[in-house]
Amino acid sequence: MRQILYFFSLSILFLSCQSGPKVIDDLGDKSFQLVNQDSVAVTFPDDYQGKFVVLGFIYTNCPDVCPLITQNMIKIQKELNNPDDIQFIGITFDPERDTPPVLRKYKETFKLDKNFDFLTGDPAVISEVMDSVRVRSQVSLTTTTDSGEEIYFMNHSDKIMVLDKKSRVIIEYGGSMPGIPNLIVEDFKALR
Amino acid sequence: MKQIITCLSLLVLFFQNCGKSQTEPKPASENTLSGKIEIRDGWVREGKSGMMSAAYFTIYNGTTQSDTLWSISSENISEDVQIHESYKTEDGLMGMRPVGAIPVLSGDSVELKPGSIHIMIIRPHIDLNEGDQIEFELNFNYGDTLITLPVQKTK
Repeated sequence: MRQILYFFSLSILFLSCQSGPKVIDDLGDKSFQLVNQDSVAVTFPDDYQGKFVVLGFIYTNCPDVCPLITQNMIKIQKELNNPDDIQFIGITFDPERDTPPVLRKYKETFKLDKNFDFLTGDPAVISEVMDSVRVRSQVSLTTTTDSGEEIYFMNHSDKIMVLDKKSRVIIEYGGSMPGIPNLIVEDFKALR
Repeated sequence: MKQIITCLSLLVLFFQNCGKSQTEPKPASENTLSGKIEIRDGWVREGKSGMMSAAYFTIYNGTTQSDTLWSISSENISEDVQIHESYKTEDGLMGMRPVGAIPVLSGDSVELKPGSIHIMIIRPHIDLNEGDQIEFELNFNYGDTLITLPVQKTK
């Protein structure tokens, strides 16, 4: 009886040591053909496997909230001292307007390094990516500028996620909130 | 004896309260009105020409009248400068909607900040680089007010 109890306790101890963070979404078996801000083809998430990924979702015509999401990702990168084992990625949910040159300009605005990519792609593929991580967006408001250009704005999910080295979404945060960078930095200290 | 104590207590309370009303500061709105509309802590987010940017500031109404910011313009950088508000929709998404005007009560202030009410700068003609100074014209009942805001990185 004592041996059974001993074995049972050891099993529980072993299991608790094995249990890492809970997997929210497993993207390990997914493969999306996208393109980055330099028009280089990217297979997401395959090309980033072996690294942690901090993943945000933006559109560049967003004047207020998406820059906050981007800035939060930059704060995380800086707080972690620009780590080589963490890739920062912003995927647009507005691929019709956010072409590689536009994403490049957006990246230049924030003066970001090689560990920070912005991805776009065929609208149907982008839609699949967004579905796989439960990110929603919809056109909400249209304005016509004095020069006659019609510009639409979008309602959208506000998320930053962390993918582990096997491309599993293990943590999900509100993207634009001010306290988020500190939370993610603390979580990374426990993860790495 | 009980009545005397009650009377004395009431007298003490009465004089304490009289003293209070003489020494307590008046509400801020009566003491600190500057007599003008002030724009404080303003900044413009860095951005590239043809993209989007935003401006943020606090409006302090130091006049004795309630006032309203009706519109804002900055023709040097964009034909389209609008007042907007970011908000959370009923189904949990982040959205944005135009704000027709911003009322500010006398002695009160309204903060325009990221993730909330902001000035949307659509398709600026020029790059907005850190350190640049951008002029805006704000239209209040009080009159048109010219302000200059520095371009900064997102805070």
